[in-house]
Amino acid sequence: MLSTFLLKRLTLLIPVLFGMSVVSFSLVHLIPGDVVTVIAGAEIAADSEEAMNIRRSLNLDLPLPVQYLRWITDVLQRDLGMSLVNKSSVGQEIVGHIPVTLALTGIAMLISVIIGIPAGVWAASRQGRPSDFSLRIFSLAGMAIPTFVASVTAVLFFSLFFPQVQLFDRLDFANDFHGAIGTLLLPAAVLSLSSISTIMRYTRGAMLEVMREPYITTARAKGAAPMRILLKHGLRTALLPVVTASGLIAAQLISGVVVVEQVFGLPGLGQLMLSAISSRDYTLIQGTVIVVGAMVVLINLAVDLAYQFLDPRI
Amino acid sequence: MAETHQASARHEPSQKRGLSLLRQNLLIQSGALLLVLIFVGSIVVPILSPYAATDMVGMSLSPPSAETPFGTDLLGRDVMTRTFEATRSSMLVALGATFLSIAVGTIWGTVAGFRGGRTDAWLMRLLDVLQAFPPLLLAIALVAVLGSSTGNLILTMGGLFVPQFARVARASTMSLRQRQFVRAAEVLGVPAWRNVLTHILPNISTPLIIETTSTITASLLTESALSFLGMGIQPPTPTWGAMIAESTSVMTNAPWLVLAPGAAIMLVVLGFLLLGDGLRDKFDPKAK
Repeated sequence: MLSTFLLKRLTLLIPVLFGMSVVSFSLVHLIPGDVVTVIAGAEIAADSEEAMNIRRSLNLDLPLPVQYLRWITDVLQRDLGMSLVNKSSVGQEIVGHIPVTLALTGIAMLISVIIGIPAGVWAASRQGRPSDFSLRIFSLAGMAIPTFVASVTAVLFFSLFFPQVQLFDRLDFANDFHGAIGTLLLPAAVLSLSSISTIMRYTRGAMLEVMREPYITTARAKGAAPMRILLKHGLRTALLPVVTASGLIAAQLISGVVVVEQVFGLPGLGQLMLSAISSRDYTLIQGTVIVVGAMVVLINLAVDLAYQFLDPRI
Repeated sequence: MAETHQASARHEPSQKRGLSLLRQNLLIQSGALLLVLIFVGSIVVPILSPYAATDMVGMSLSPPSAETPFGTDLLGRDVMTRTFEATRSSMLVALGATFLSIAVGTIWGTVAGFRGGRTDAWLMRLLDVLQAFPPLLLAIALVAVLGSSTGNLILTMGGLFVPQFARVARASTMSLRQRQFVRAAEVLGVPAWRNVLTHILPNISTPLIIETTSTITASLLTESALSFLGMGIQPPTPTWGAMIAESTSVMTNAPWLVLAPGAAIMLVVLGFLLLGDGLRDKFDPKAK
């Protein structure tokens, strides 16, 4: 049963991954005008040695489908090409920057779940009362504040009132793991603001729906403790849609990561991409886009599989 | 035709009921009030203000005072005029992108839902690809490649939000497709495009309107994040994101530089969120 589902799910992945690779591949070809002059500057002659080198390194001298085939063959062999600016391997650059982004996203996800789910259950259990309403306002505020405003305001707040707190510490996962995680806590908390709200709203909505089911009434009639009904009978079922939403939330977090890394000076994928953009390093941009996209696709796959285990009906 | 009217009566409350509900619904009310205040401000303040957004009106970084209620920025420009003026450029991009995605998304979704079969499968696979990327990331990459003019921003973000509308339109179209009045028109030989125009579109507008508020929110957040990263509308036109970005280095001495545009974004987004939540409560009482 599970294996047929897995097989079906994996076949669905192929067109999506193919499409993503086409999008990432096209990025470099969307550049208006001659790519070479965009990359190397206008003063370079179109037939100079350097121009030829750039063309060759991007395979620009070949027809488009051939270029794509060459590129995708390399990508599938885990070769994302060479960075145009510092001539290092794009793959290596990305591998070096992934840990920060993963840690940030992971901690933020944890914070959102730990706060968002109980808050959602609580709001649902007090539907229509002032506490429900105020939580709703809080969640709207959490969604209304852009991640970059929250990050900048957090930095401003700490530097005005707690100047002794070291906000911009060096990250050293290998030697000082706890210190590194500690440094990531504030950025992750800021990043999680909107996802806490999202998770809370999903949980509340799902709980309200579930609590109307006949089996909850049955449990009540049998005299089960209210807390037990809420958590064991209610939340267990209500968690399913929340799990489904977590793929969406992961994409939301990874979008926010770009900004948070920039404000807190953290060397993650977002910062790598932004520096690639400012130095017009198109192969590096291409590489980060396809890697991050693939990450989101894998997260969604994991979410679907988790759903499979949690929901006995499928 | 009579069926259409019945159906639309079921889906959309009449004008009069709509108005009375508007009065009842605190969320819609407060959201609308907030937005009206800010939009009126964005038109009135730059007109009444003695300064233009790009004028240097005083000392650099002077704190809020009677002449400059939100203080001045690094170049001595009036922060209040700039904050309100920025509303226009941000709203232009956000609304432009939203309208583009409504137009494309609705056509995309109704065609997919109405045709079904292979057309549907192909159209939806394409959207899967688009949705697989984190939206801000794809926006950054596209704007970096295309260049950050207002037109490119609208085009990029408009494209980014097509999937949401297309999915909503498709789901509603598919359920309407089976209804008698749509099938009857089909049997009578009404061309598909007219059938969609007269029978489907009027009846899928409610979910699309609700989706619109959340897309405006998403475009506002994306636009401001892009301009914060230096990839939005370029200076000297003020945008909230850029105003915050250029003042991070001096914000401990001049917090108003960050707080004024920050509060402005929050309030506009909050306005649309309240509006959207209110509409959802109203049309989908189950989710209340």
